[in-house]
Amino acid sequence: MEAILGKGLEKRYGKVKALDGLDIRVEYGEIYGLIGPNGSGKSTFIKSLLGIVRLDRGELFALGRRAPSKALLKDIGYMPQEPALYYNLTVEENLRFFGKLYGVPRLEEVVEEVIGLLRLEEKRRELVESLSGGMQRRVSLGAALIHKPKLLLLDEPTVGIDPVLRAELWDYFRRATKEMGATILITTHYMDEARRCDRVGFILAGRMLAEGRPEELVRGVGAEGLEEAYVKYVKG
Amino acid sequence: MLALAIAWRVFKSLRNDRRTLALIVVAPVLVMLVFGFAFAGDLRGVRLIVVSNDPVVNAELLSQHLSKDMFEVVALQDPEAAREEVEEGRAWAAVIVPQGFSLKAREGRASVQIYVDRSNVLAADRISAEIARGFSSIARAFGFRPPVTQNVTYVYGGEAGFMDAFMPGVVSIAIFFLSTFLTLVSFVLERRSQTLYRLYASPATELDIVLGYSIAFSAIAALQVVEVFAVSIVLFDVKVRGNMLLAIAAGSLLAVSGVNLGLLLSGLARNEAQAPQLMPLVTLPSILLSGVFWPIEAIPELVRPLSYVVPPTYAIEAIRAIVIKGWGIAEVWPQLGALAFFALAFMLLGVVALKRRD
Repeated sequence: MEAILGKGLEKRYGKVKALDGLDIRVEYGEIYGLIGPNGSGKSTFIKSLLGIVRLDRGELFALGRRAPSKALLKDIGYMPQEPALYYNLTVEENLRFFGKLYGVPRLEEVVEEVIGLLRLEEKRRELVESLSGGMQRRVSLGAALIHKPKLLLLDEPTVGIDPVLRAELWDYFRRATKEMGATILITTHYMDEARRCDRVGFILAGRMLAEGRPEELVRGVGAEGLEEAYVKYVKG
Repeated sequence: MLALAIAWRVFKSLRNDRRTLALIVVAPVLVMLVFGFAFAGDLRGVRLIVVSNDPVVNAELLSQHLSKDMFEVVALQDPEAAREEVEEGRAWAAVIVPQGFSLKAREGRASVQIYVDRSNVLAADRISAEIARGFSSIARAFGFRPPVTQNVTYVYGGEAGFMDAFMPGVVSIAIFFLSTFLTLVSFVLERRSQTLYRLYASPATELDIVLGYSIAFSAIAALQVVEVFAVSIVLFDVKVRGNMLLAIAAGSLLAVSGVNLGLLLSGLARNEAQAPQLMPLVTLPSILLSGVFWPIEAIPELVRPLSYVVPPTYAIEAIRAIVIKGWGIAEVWPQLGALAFFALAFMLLGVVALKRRD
């Protein structure tokens, strides 16, 4: 059974085809990277899983159930592109608010746990607006983790972040999968991040070009690295 | 001249900002219409009761000498019944012409009894003046000797000053404006910062979001009503005759409509900067149509039906009745009911607006 299974997904915005028959398969417990340039349909796919965007066609399942559905949402964590936090609340208050939305039991303990996991102890009582961009992303990840979701959707979580902070965030993604046993779907256009994934999917113009382990994809087209492999898949 | 380059840039940017462009063109017209209608219009269709026991000066004669546009004259037999019509808010004024009026008038000893509802000070004073003008016109036509004494009894608002009449309108408009505007701004921010996506992605339903905002802002509105009342009472000597809690309830119900209107409008604004541009859409019709200064009888008949779909109309009526007339739930329930209806309807629209997805 797959954590996410999509078949023939289609979505149009006016004349633009954001998803054009996308097929995707994400296995339980893995970090799956959806790799493609801006406008390739990555965000649209994530939003369709959450019901923020309505699909025109196709079949979509998550955690063994048809998606999107309201019942499914409590098992999914979502980190949007923007930090998507309340800037005039403190770190703790943000985490508590999102925890309440999910009806997290023993919320205070869980907030402590997440603050510990993301090493936010020193900033916990600071307003989010006063935090650095990297720190805001960490809180944003915390808000996505607060209800211990089985599936974590990270939409370009590292865009515009310097390489050091990106490496640090990846460390947290790994910890989340290990300590919470979550499956992660992450979208990015950074090839160095693709290497960190268990499996990746190359997406372009709303279609899946190839799916597999990074090294398989590189070998499959006789490329030197992932970047070259992507270009080769694009050229067909 | 670098200044010219900058000016040129402003015009070029406007070309691609249709919303602002539309505002620039439409706003002056809209503003003129609002102030024209709201202030320049005279009262129309005001119900005036006339009880006359005099063979000459009767309801028919009076109506001939009064402004036909302003008054809809209704003849009654019983002075007590006439007074009741005014007390119960079905007529703005009643004129009682006693027996032998025209005989006494020839000797300059005539008097009439007038009952006026002065809960809207501006309107009542206009009505009193017009009635006085009507009697002088009759006096001239029949060669009566002045004066014709007018014993005016204010059924409501005898001591009411300008602020008493003004305050219900101000508080209603302030609440409607603030709840709409604050929700609009915070909701545009929810969208732009993508916290709205987070709400959508959580088990919270659209109804939860709408209810959450409504609860918060109706509580804020309640506080604002208290504030406005406190300032009115302490600084402007306004006397509140009715139940403050009832007035607060009316304000809170109004706020719920405002909140959800803000929510609806937030779908039209793409960023916070555009949000203020939408505000004239809310404030101008509210000021124009809700009877802040003049009662809605002064609004041109063509647009008057719109007055009944603007929620502040009912809040102003209710709060004015509570503050000046001292009316209770038994009298203002229709207005509170209308406000509750709007609150519910706007909440439903809010839910529908939030459910709309790409």
